[in-house]
Amino acid sequence: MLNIRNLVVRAGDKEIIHSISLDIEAGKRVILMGPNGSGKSTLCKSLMGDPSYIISNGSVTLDEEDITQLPPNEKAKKGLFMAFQEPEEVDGLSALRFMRAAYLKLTGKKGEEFLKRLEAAKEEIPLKDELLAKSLNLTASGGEKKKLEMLQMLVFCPKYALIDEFDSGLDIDSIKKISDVLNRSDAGFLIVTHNPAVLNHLKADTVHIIDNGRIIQSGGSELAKKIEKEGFVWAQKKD
Amino acid sequence: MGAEERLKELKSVGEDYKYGFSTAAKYKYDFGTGLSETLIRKISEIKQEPGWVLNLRLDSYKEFLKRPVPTWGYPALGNDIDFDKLYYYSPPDTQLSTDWENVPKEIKDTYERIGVPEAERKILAGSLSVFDSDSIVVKLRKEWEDKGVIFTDVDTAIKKYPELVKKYFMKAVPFTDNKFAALHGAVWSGGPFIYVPPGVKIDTPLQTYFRMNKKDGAQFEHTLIIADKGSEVTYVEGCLPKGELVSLGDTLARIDKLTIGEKVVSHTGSLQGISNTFVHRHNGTMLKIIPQSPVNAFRLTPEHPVLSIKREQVRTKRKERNGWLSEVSTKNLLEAKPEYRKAEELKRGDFLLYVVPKKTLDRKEFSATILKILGLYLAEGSVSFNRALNRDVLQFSFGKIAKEKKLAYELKMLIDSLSEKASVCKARSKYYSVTSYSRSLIALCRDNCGKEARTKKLSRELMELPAEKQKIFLEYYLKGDGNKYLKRKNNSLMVRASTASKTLAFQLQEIIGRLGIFSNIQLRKGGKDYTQGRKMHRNDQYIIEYTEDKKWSHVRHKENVFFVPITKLYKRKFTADVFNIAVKNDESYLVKGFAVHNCSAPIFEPDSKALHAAIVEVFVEDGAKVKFISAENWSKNVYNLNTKRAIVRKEGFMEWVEVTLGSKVTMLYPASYLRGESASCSHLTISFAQENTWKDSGSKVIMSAPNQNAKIISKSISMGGGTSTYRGLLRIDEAAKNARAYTQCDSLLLDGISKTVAIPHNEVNTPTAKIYHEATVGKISKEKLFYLMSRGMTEAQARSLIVLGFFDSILKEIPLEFAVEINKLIEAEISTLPGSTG
Repeated sequence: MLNIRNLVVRAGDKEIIHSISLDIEAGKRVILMGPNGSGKSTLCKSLMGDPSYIISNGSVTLDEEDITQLPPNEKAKKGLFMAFQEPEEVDGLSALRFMRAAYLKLTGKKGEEFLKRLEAAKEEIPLKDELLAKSLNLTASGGEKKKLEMLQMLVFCPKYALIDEFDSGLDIDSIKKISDVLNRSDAGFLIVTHNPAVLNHLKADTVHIIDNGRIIQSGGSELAKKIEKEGFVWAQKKD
Repeated sequence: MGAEERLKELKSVGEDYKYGFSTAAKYKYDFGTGLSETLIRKISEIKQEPGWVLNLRLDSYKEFLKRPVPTWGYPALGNDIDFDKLYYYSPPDTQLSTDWENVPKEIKDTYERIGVPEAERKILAGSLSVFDSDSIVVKLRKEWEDKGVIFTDVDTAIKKYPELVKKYFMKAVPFTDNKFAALHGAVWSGGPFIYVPPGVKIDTPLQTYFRMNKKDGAQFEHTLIIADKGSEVTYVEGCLPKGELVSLGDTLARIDKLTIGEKVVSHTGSLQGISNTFVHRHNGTMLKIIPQSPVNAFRLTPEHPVLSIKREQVRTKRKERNGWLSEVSTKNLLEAKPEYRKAEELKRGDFLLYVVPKKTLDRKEFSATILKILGLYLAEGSVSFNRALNRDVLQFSFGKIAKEKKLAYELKMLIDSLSEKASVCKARSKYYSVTSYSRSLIALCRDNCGKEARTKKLSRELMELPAEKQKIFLEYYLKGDGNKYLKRKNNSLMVRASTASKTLAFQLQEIIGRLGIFSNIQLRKGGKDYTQGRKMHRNDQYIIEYTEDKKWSHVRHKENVFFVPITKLYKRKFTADVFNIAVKNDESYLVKGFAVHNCSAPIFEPDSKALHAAIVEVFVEDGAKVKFISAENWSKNVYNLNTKRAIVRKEGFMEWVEVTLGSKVTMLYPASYLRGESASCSHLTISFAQENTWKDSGSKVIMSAPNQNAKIISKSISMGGGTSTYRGLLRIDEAAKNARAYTQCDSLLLDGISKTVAIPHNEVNTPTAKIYHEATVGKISKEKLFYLMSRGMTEAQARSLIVLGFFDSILKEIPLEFAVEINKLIEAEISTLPGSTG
């Protein structure tokens, strides 16, 4: 279980997340929805250990181990993964080389093992080999970048994954395919999305609505249906 | 993956690179230092050169005397280089040979170590090695020889192909070009000569390795490449110095495992980075110095300087007698200034300096409770895997006596106070045991103290805690493992503890040292033994002993230094590799706690200077293609001032790939003179400006006929306060109608203190020319680092991946073994940057 307790996150002097608590169980998909600027991405990044943010209060435990203040690489080694909304580009570093280096770091396994995992992951999420041979995220389209993030997740096999908008820029077939992958996975997910329609494909176990750095509504997938009809204004009013 | 395998194979070659050492090679002549007309005549005479070559040398010498040292570029050039102190000619004692077997052993050893023969066998069509002044081995695959390709050294070429050499030699770079070209013209020696006949296309690279062996040496090899009409050749020159590998830090690492960038403790007790590592074959005496604490004994070569105080300087009036050493005045000893002395000058009774590292870093998570638990864990605890529970269990064992029982319950209380669970039970009526299943406690104990008795080792975090915190830890450790007893002889209270871990013994000695007490470590050898009639094997035990009240009577203490007398010295015959390291700032390191200097005799001294003033001349005839690849990574005492120039005729294509690492000063601007119509060139340069280095490099292109193309790409990286300067000249003459030139200048800054400067100079004399210029200066953003770190990389690894990416387009152009070497260098350099972890 990934437990987030009373998390307070600051960027400089500004408090962005005000005491959020969440639980993410293995095999479950927790959906986080909210209007622009509500703190969804900040929550994901701070959970992953982005040094731009300071966790000034609260705790994050991964399978009962406190990981609140660990650096991102240590968190990754404990089994936490984040799929970025806008993954960084690295000129000259091929996606393949990057993934290989990361895989060896994360698992301590050998290169052959990596190739096997990669082949298996490509069965689930087809990506062209040329793309893997090119500079990381540099020439990839928006959709390709998202797929590459998902491919990495499948290769690294994390225990818990924070997914910051996998659906934006993706065509409907790919949304279905990735939703299917997430539905079948036994990892625990925190999935950020703007778009309630994604939940037609993605099985949601819990849905939280976040606004202004606070969770204002929690429920099941019916919550998403309501948002789809009435927008976030409805949830904000109810608060 | 073929490329992966090849990389792996080459890595195995790369692992053996160990340069920066100087082998005891035999030289044929010794002319001493300094330059004179007599020396020049002598060189020419030894080489049995024809008159025109001698005259060229003498004219060059006159020009050299006339010309001033350039005042642009590296500002201290004129001051730094003392032309009278350099060795200008040092031919090894061997003849030019085409068979590796005929090369003298010392030279072969040197090359074996830098991996030349393997690389040569594996990749190259031909290879020639230059060892200081003369060329030694020339090899060319027979198929090329049959096609008329010549690959030999210039000296041989002068004898065998005089007309060919005379036509081209010093025609691209005349001796009047600059002071260093003039010097080169006077004293040049060795270097490859390549001639490719018309239409012959050599598809595998020809390669040369250079190595500078003599300190304060100078190397003036001359490279002459002639690609006749329509021919093609790729030539690689590699200038190799030191092997630089990265490894993880450790509290007591073996010196042969130490690598550049790691931090060691110097004689001042501060952490300093290693700037170089050395290895050399030592054949002779080895000294073993045994100080008062016998396990701290260490070995070194007789000439290795050791920080010490001579007993005779600090003794009282009473002299040495009846086998008793002279008495020492504490006052004198504390006031004496320690000096570096050769180990062989030391005697029994002289004082060595045991230095306690100064760095402390308080970490709040180590509360008194935690420290007490850790102390007890170190003494009595272990983590073992319980099969029935299928998990790790933390267990402490205490004896059956009342005192131990009390301790067991105290421990339970301590654990409970952390809101973790522990239970005490009286197991099998033999001892009390305390058990805990807390995962966080298990991790804490294991991470900070190790897992089992023989491998117990304290974490860096624990070693760096302030003394008052370590005192709590030590107290609880001794409650478990130590015992106190009264020593009758001088009525002092002795404290003693024993451990099977050698590393732990040294670490405890250091902690006790921080409390102002010097402790002795003795060894009780293990082996076969009998206990109650049963056979058993006992491990070696390290016994740490000290007196709390009186302190060791022979040891004196000042600040973080203990003056410890030598009790014994041994000499042994010894033949094996010996290792040494160079340490930044303090130039010293600690061997088993004792301060020694970082450099011994056969290694380049930090202030020695070596000059590399080579000339490369390339002639690209009509329609020919030449690719010249150079990876220069000289020792950090080398002034690398070369002149490289290509003359390109009609439809010829010249390609320069230049990688410069290392050296103190580099001033290097490969030039292409495009003379014929539709001639073209491509320049790629990578340069690294590191700490204390001056990198001034760039490209020079002169376009002087119609329809020519030039592409110039420069990539530089600055780190550790280094400055990298790009200095480019592009001149397009009026006759160069429709010229096209593209320049790109990218630089990457790795920290806030390094600099990059670009001085491009374009001179365009025709309106039909098209010029494109792009320049970028990059920094590594926090966001990029975070992204890479979220995939498990440490900050240092993330940085090096980004940097390697920056160079990727160029790394593809150079042979893999150089790419591997550059890779290692980048990683090593980045790991020394402040703020990098891992």
